[in-house]
Amino acid sequence: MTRYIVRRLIAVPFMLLGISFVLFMLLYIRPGSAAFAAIGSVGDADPRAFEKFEERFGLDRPWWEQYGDWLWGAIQGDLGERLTPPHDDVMGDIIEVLPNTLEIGLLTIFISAVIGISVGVLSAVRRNSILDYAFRGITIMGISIPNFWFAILVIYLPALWWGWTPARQWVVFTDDPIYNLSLAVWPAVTLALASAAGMARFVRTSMLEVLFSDYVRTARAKGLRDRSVIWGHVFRNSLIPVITLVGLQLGAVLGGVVIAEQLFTVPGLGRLSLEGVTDQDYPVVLGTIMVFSFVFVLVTLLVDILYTVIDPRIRY
Amino acid sequence: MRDNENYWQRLRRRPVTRRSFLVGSGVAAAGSAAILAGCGDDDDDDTAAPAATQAAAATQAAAATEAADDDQAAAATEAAAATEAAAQADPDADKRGGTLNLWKTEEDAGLDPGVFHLNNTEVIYSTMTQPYTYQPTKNLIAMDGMVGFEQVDPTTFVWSIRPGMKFHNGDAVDSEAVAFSFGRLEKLYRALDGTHTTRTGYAFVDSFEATDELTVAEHWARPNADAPIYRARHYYSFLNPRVVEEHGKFEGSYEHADGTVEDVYSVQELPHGSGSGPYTLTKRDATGTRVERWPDYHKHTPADDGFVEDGPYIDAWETRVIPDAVAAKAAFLAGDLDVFTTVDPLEVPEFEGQDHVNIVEIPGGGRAMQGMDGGKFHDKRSRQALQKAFDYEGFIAAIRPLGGMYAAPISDLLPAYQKLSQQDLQEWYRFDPAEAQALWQAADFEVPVDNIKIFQSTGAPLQHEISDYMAQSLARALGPIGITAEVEAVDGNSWAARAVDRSTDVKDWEILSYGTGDRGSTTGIPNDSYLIDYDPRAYGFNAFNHYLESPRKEIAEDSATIIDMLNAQEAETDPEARAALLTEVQTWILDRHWCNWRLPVSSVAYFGFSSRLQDQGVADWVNLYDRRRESMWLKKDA
Repeated sequence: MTRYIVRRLIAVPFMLLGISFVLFMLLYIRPGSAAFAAIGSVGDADPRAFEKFEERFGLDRPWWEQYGDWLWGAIQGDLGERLTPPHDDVMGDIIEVLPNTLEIGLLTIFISAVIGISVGVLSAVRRNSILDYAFRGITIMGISIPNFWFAILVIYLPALWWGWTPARQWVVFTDDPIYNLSLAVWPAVTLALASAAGMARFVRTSMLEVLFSDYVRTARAKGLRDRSVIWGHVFRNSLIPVITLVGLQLGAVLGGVVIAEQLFTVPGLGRLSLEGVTDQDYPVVLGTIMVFSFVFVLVTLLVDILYTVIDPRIRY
Repeated sequence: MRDNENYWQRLRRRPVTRRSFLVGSGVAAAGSAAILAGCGDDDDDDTAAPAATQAAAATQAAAATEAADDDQAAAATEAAAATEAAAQADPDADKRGGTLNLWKTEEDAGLDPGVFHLNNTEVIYSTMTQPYTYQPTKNLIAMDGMVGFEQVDPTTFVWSIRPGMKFHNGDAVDSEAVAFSFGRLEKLYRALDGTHTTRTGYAFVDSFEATDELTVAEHWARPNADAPIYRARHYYSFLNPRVVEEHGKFEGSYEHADGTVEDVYSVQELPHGSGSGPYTLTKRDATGTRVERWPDYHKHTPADDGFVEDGPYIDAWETRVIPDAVAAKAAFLAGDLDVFTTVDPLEVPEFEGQDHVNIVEIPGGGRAMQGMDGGKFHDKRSRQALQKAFDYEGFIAAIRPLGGMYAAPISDLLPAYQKLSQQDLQEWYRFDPAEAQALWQAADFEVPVDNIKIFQSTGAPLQHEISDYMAQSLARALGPIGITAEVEAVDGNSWAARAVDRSTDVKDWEILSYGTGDRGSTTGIPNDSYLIDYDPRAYGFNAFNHYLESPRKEIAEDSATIIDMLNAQEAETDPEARAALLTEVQTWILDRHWCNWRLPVSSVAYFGFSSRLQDQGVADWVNLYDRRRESMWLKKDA
């Protein structure tokens, strides 16, 4: 197990290196320059301003020098400074907003797991009932509705009908935990919709597979009550693939966070990343995506470790 | 990975059992669910507060019933007397107080008014003093930090500063501070090779001189009619030189004509004492800004339009960062914002029946520009052909169904200078496909043009509608002679990069489409609205290849002509004579089909305010002097 974890951890930097390289090249070949976002008024600005800007930030150098410099800094924990004024330290900006994103991400996973598992279990246990059909219909809708569109409805319709909107002034958890959760829950619910729907369908299928297995039939034959069979045998054994799904869903959640933070006015990593893309601020984009990637890689590793806790038969 | 046959045995040895894991997860889930279920919103507090107030009121009422009738009468008389005295002391007492709720799309990049002006104006307007406001739609100047000015001779301009002003740290606002604030703009521009300040506003100035404690003289190299309007801009905010000296950040150096080198500093964080405005900055982070009343703010006696003798009525401004337009609209509908923005005419019905929303009609003033690449369209006939190939009436019917009007090179928001009528403009904007074809075929092309690429950014959906309509119109008119038209839309940065790319003599597009023409604003300066788009020293050069050194002879010759005309109107200080010169410039541009042509624009636009915001000065929001109106107030019961 320890060897497995060490092997996986050794692979992490190489994965991040590959991701950063591909990302840097994509940003590099894109037309335009951060100078336009930084200087802005192109009609009146001295054309030398653009050259001077590119010179100052090394944007006039070959790509390998730019990437090499960034990489060397990143290895030492320095993700560079923002190309756009006021040229903040990228790492500082990330550290400032990361807790907000993690909070929304975790809340999303929690909500989707609670709803997804409950609906999936109920649907499987009462298969082919009206409840099952209703849940299946709802989950199809949940999967089909794009989360950005759902977020727009969640923000806009209550404002139009009741003069209230969930997109309010963000307050950090440490300042006012209750108010903070009342803000964070909305982007989390929005993002959890599709995840919960997917998970409910997955749990249902997984439960149904186990429900018809021999050991469940045996359990029933020896006279165990339904509750014991469902929770003691079926649910536990159908949990392993669900854990995998929860881990994988984090990727979708992290992607969705970019839009959710923008719509719900949350100062988070997603919004920072989007600002970086808009301004062609490559240190910001690389820095934020590296953090997203690192979190994702770490979570998949945790999921692997979790397998052995859920099912000790599994060994690495 | 392998299965272990002795499953239960292994399980018993594990420090964390499956059961304990699942039970733990369940407890955590239940706990979190309980927390979530218990989460209220800020409205809960509001609900609790009235309940508490009601309870307190009930207690008071009960106590009052027990009290003697005489005591009650005496108390009532005293209260009435106190209210009356307060009203006499401050007749505007009911207007004072409250927090103005604003929003912006992004955090600021810095607060120094000489370097940045994006997403920071709410702080600069409120914490700093500007010379005055100028409202072009009313042609009105309202004094703020200045009390008067005088054009002593064609190249000398003198300012009188309001006496008794102080910066927030107690330093006096004197002529040295004002001369420093004005003079640093060019120094910053030169040290940084460009800032957001409009260089044409000080390029004609030789020096700013503090002649006595409250008088500043400007010495000019040449006359400039726009100088008083430029000084109304917030770049010219009064900044404390001592704070810049003590806390300034080195921005660069530049060399004077005599060879001496000067270092230039900025104050991007606006440390305490930088400004002398009615408010001080109390919060600035990723969620927004907050400014609160400064109790020692100077008096405006007498108060001009938009000002109040004893400081602004409103106590504080809270500005939220809301990056998304839908979220901002929802916040406005929910009553969380006092100022929204311009509202699309098609969206106006959505706001009907909302008591706390006040949608007002304002002049349109937008621009829908189509810039032409002078590297390809150097022959006037080719540019004219494009304009004749466009169906203007059809465009108005399709894109401006709520009211369209023809647009001249200068904004219609400048009535003092815009003397071309709609009938005049119709003469130039006439759809004639047959003539368009004839002109195109007669035109000289050094670079063959078989396909017209209309290049736009993806910013606004309406932009795409306009470009699409244009492509269809051009294809319909010029299609029969083998000219096709297409639209290419890219993100804003890529669009800007390719718009000003001068790596070759020609652009990789034919028409640069920008502006949606549904709403606009103006500083009051013809150069900004929108002669800069035709100027061979500005956008005419870097965006449209219409410039003095053009390898195309006609373009180079015409550039020299228009530069002379632009200089002449800028130097003319008599408004009537200047209006005549501006009409000549516009006529020349329209006759020569120079550089850009403007599509019909919306005649009206709509702006959203909360119904509690009073005296918001609707026109100010078009004139770019919004939020400097200290006479705005918030109705308590709305």
